[in-house]
Amino acid sequence: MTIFPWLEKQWRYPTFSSLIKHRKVVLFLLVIIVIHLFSTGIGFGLWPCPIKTTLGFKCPGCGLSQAIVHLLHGRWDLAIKEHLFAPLFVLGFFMMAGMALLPVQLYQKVTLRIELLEKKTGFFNIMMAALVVYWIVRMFVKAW
Amino acid sequence: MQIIAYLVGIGALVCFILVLIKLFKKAGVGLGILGIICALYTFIWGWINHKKEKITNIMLIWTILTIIALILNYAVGVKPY
Repeated sequence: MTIFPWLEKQWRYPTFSSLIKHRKVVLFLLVIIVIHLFSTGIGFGLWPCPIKTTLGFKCPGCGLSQAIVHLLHGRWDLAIKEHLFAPLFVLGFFMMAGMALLPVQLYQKVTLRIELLEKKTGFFNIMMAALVVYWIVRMFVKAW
Repeated sequence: MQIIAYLVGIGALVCFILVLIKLFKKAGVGLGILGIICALYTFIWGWINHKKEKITNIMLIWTILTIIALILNYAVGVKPY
């Protein structure tokens, strides 16, 4: 059974910290996210989902941008209805934005802490797995 | 025009899947799933790593197809994908 060591490795892989390792990449991502959310907010989506628009079914992240826009406008009910994970992504966004403002040494320290936490708990990968489960459930439950 | 829009969409989807496979292989399952959720992240990752992963041509085609799709959507009024 070789799947378990592989799963263990993937589970504890520091995914989020590898994403935020380079400050320049984080800043670039933040700018792109802000542009994307702004364009979604004014109804001029600059990045349509290639899965939904071509194949016709929702991807795990479909509705997330709109849900985040709702959330930033304080419309919690609509946001949760649109995508359950929107609050977590908003939290991640503000965390990244806050970190980007930190001095370089402190930034590296925080990144290292997050990496250790991820290796211990695998929180980001759990969230991603939960998102896939949510997507499957959402596909079969019409109310979502 | 609709057929062109559909072909552009299929082309963009193929490019997306090709880059996504690379993302899964190189960055792990977590970021791979993030790439499915947010195709924009896959797109950015592709451009950041295009030389290392030798996917410059795929990225160029994907970019051109995305621009065509946006033009078709907003200027001509045909749904891109």
